[in-house]
Amino acid sequence: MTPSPSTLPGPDPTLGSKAQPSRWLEIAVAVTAVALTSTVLVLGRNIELRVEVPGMNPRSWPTFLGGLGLGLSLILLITAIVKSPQPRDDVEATTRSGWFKLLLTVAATIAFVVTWPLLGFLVTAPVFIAAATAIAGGRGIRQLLIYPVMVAGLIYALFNLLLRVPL
Amino acid sequence: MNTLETGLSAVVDPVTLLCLLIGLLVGTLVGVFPGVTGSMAVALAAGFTLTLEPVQGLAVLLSIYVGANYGDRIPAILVNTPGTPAAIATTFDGYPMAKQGKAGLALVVSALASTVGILMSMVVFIVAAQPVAKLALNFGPPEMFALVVFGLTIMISISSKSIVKGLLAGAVGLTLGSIGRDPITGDQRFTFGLNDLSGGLDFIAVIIGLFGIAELFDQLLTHRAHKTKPISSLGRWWPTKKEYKQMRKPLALSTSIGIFVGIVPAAGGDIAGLIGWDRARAISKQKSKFGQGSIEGITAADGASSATLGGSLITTMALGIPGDSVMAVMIGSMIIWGLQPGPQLFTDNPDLVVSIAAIMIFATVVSLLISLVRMRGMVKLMDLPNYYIWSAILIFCLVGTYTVTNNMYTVIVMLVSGVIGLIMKRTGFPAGPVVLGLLLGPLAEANLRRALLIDGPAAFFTSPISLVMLILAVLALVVPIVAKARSARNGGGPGGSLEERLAQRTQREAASAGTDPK
Repeated sequence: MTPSPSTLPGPDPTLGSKAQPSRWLEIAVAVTAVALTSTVLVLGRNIELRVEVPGMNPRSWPTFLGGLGLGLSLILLITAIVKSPQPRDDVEATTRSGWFKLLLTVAATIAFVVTWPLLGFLVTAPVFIAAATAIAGGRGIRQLLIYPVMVAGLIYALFNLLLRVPL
Repeated sequence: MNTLETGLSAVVDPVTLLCLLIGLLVGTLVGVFPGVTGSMAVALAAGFTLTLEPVQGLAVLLSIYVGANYGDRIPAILVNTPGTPAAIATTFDGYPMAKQGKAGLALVVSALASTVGILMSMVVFIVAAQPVAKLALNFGPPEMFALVVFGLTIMISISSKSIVKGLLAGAVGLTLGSIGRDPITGDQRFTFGLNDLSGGLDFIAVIIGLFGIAELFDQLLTHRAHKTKPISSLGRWWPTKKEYKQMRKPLALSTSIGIFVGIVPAAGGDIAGLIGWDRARAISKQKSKFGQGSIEGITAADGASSATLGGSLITTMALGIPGDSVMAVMIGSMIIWGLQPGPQLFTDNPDLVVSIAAIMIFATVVSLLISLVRMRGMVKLMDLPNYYIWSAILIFCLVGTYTVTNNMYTVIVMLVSGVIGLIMKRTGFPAGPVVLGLLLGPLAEANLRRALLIDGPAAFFTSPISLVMLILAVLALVVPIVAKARSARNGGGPGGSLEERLAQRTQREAASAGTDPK
């Protein structure tokens, strides 16, 4: 008899919901892999050599890897088309708010990377930490003001004063 | 001063001790928060430790490794959620014990078993690492190439749900490792005329992206507001004489299993914990108690998973092949410090090997004391809201990466690696083989070319060591494929990675043992 998940010991399997298998996702991944590995193969074959050397040259290894990758990608593509999609019970299902949080976090991170060299760490870091905390759900003065200033100050002190790395 | 004195005196230096305590604190916190893994923390800390002396940096990284190994048991026991994958088997008996009002006892037994596991494995490290390194000193190019192939295939076999995806991930890692100047002729490869790429991709940036940012983004993407309240009634703490006696046999067995699993490249505490728990149940007179709150069960799980630390160190330091994902990060940091893990380390820097052993032992003893004294305080940390942890991880990832080269280009590499890591995670590609491929790719290529130049392809088959390792590498890929095919034929489904299959099997067996009246 196979016991039901609730009778199993170990981490609670009912927490969160698991991602659903998707044939289209598998096919899209395989097609992307075919495209990328083909590019590696072509680029590998076109590596410019300053001197011809006997045996394996600097082109051989990348070309071999590109060929190997292409072969594996084709197997992946055929498997994705022919067989039923693999279960994805090792990853949680995404949420709509999760996508929203992720995109906002990525945007905030890019903004931080762009503005840091222009305005300096001490100006941009507290704003960025406050933004990241707010996107993740933090609200209130302690979360959006005191905490960001403290963390930015701590990092600045750690690097500039202790490790002597300019930020 | 002799090697022993030099190695030990470097550790008792006040700055090193401070680094060790900071590392332990960070490691324990990392373990307590589910979702923040040891690999992620060590990758993050690697960026901060590059400006330190090697011994000081190693003190931080190794003590995070040890501290996380203690901290991750706390949520496993109190909320049935392993702090890191290494504590999966701890939940089998730890949480049932906590539900029976024996949480304090479970935490103490877990800490004691972990301590014995790590210390015994360190004894093996001290005794065995040098002879292994001596043997490896005789390795020529064919053996070194075969060793890298063996390490990579084992990691693929263990971490991948699909062998094809694992192999593809390994090929991607090896390709990324070929970016930059050719190791022999210096020709530019895949650099597109960019100076930043001619030195290759920065390893630390890639691992912070793959282990840190990808995990963080995934948590943002999938987070749901549910809360399991930690069990607050801890009950009694110390085992009775009879319970100490019960711990002996499973501890001896699981420690041996853990050390062996640790030595296998890429196999870590999660797998060892599951095997240790399963084997201890097989030899126990009280099988039915396993999975229901057995002291033997929690002892076996934690003894085995902790004993991997020393085994993993042997593979990493003596052979230069990472024993687990944390050790892959450690190798990357050591290379930046100008230290190449592998047999040469034992001849060129024997005092550093002594320091490493001393740091591990010292960190273990201090971790045990912290675990026994501050356990109650750590329980409260689990109430810390996620937004604090997420924003802190993000800023530390960014700043830690920037400090590696003081160049925004490295931060961009890290962010791109993070997005790629997220896509890989969501589509079933393991990150481990990419990291290992990137790290060992140049070594594999250089040795392959040298071997072919000196003796031709026959070199790989005339050397017994190389031949055995290549056969093992092939078996590592073929056996899981055959096992999955057989399981699918018997109606057991396609199965997952080795770790997942082990977890499912042990959970099933534990549940059926619990309902068995015998």
